[in-house]
Amino acid sequence: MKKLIANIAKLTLTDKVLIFCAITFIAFFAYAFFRKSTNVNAIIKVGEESIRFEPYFVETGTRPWFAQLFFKGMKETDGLGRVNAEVLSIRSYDTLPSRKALYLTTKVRVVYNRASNQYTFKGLPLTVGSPIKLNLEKLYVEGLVTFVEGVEDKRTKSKLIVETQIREETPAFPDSSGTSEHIANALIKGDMVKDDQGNIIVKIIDKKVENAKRLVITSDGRSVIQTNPLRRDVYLTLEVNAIKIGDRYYIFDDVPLLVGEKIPINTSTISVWPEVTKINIEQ
Amino acid sequence: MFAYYSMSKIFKKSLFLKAFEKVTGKLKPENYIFYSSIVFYLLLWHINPNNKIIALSFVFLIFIYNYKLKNVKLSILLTYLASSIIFTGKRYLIQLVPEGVFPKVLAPQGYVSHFVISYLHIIAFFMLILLVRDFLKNRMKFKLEKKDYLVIFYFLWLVLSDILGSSRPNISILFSVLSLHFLVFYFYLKFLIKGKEKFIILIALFTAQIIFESYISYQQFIASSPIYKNIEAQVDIEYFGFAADEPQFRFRPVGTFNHANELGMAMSFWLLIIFAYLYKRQNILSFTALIFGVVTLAATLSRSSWLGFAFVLFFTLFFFEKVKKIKSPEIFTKNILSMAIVAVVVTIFFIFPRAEKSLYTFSEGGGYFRSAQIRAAIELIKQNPLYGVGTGMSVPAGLSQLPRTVFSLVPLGVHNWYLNITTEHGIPAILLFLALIATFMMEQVRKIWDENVINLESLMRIAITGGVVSSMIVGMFQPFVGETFILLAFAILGKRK
Repeated sequence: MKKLIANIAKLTLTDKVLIFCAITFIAFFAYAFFRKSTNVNAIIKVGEESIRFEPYFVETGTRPWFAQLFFKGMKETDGLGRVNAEVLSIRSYDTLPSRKALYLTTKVRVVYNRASNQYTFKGLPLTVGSPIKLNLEKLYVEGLVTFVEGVEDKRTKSKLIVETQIREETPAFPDSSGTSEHIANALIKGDMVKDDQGNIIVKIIDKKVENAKRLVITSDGRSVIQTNPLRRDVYLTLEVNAIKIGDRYYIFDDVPLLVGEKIPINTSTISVWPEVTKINIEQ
Repeated sequence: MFAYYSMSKIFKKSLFLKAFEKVTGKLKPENYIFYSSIVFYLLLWHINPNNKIIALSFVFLIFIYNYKLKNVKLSILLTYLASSIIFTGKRYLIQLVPEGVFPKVLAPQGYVSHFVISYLHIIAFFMLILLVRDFLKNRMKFKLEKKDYLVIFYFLWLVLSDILGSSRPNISILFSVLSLHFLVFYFYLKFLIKGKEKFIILIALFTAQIIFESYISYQQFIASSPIYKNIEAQVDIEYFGFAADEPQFRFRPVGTFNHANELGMAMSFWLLIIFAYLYKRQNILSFTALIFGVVTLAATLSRSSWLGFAFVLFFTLFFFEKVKKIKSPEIFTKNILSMAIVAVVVTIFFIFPRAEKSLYTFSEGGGYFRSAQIRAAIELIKQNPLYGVGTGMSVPAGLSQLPRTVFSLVPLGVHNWYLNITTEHGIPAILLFLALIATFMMEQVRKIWDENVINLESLMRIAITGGVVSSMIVGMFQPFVGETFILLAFAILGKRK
């Protein structure tokens, strides 16, 4: 021991600095490469940012051709071959005929920071609302973190009966809000809007079609309701699997169910936005 | 001059001055410079006067320095250097790209440039008057060397390229003409300042600057915000913690500089000089400044400055102890424990978290951004090889000429000074600069290697040359290179014997 102390005393400042740097370097790499990382599940909504053809025209959701490239088990690995992220499941539904909402339930390898009580993924905080970038094998993904394991999700599911009407205001028929006959025929009682896992989101449980009402003003100034044989008033009764946030109901995550507002119905043959006329809440 | 001598006659009778003389009379010039500088800076900081008062007080500082030094030329030079860390002044905002083009969080007012006529320019004007007077009256030995021509051509090229190459020469020329104060500083120092004692006086000023910048940096760090005093140049710096290689919830102190990296670079240069000085004269004040400065340097989280400082420090240490066989000063060996504690603390609290985040630098952090910028800058140079795009015009020119590159996403100048100067002023500018550096370095390395006697001058030669290397390392990662320090080194070390 005395010999060791005597040898340490003989070291020059350069040697001491070199030893300090070497210890720091080793400690840093030991910390960086052997630090404890854990896997947490997060849900990532793939954004329209993933494809940048139309930067000034924003529509919600990603494109169908891009959405169909994802599959369960896709992985991102780091330079050492360790799995950074793995897709556990995929959920998607149509928001528009040309857009899909795409959610990836992903297992991500994160580092927990006790001081800030945060997970970090590739150096950035993994928090709900933060953007995330993944390189899933041959796919580059920019998305939004919508859920992280451990975050309390207060949303509840509710089944509602919603009455709607397809209304088309068109300058060609200024006195009527009915729709064309082919649209009325394309919607069939029993049609369903499902997500890719087969969960029913909207089901048409009743349909009533009649000639569209139109307002006629007589030569003496009276208003008379007549019908238009070329147009149809379509009344749909829908069974909706809604999400309750607070005291308000939503479908497709963030489309509000409110009287007077329109909701999307995208089936395999048609895309319409009927207007909500009444909401019956099943108890 | 006449006014100065008549005022000095009046002041000789002042009771205040008699008391001042009593306090300062026994002080050595270097101690006087240190104390007067630190008191001056602290008064500026705490009284927080407006710009005009600050300008006047810098003029007054010439008299304060000269009171002891009895050397107006040296006093003006010291005042120039003292004012070189204050970047406020008459400030004009020039919008180069309108708002809405870049993300609001990065460029809320669009891409803007600040044209600042600072106190340093006022002092440089005094220096120019003295230089012209001495030149016209043949009071100085005016003989230009090869490197002097290189310095002149370099600065003239900056102006010329702005006239001929800039898309907005009326704006670019403002910046390049304003930068000519460096040229004045270089020739003033070269021709009008004599005597070896100037090293000690400069060290005293640098020590005061380290302590002052550390003092306000600690305040900024504790408050996690600028303190909003008039001499703070940067009070609305962008949020740090966005990128993958940036620790969150950290405020990087900027001192009186525009950016923490600039503070880091200056600190690195000053600290290397203080470090070498301690090998010659050991005093607790310089040692304390060294420790304070190292903590400030660490707190800036400036990786480029750390790299430059550590690289040069280690080589200096190695050269002193292993090549020149100089024993490390007692002040280091006696305080090795306290130095080790400081080293461990700054490593754990500043260096480790930043280094850990830097592992992601090439995924979407600074490394990724810089590599994208380098590719874009090379393309821009290919399109504008001779005159460049003009001072401050790399982003607007990049946006119009290369809209699909990083220039259209992040409104920041090229984070590699060598490429930045080539982008803005063409290939001749960088060739002139590199020729200048090569001439200087070859000369200094030869002198350092050949010098057998280790005196203050030789130690300063090693430290200042190391400081230049450190600044140049910083320049590889930042859009600035520390021209003041480099020209100081050229002028002060480049004199013929």
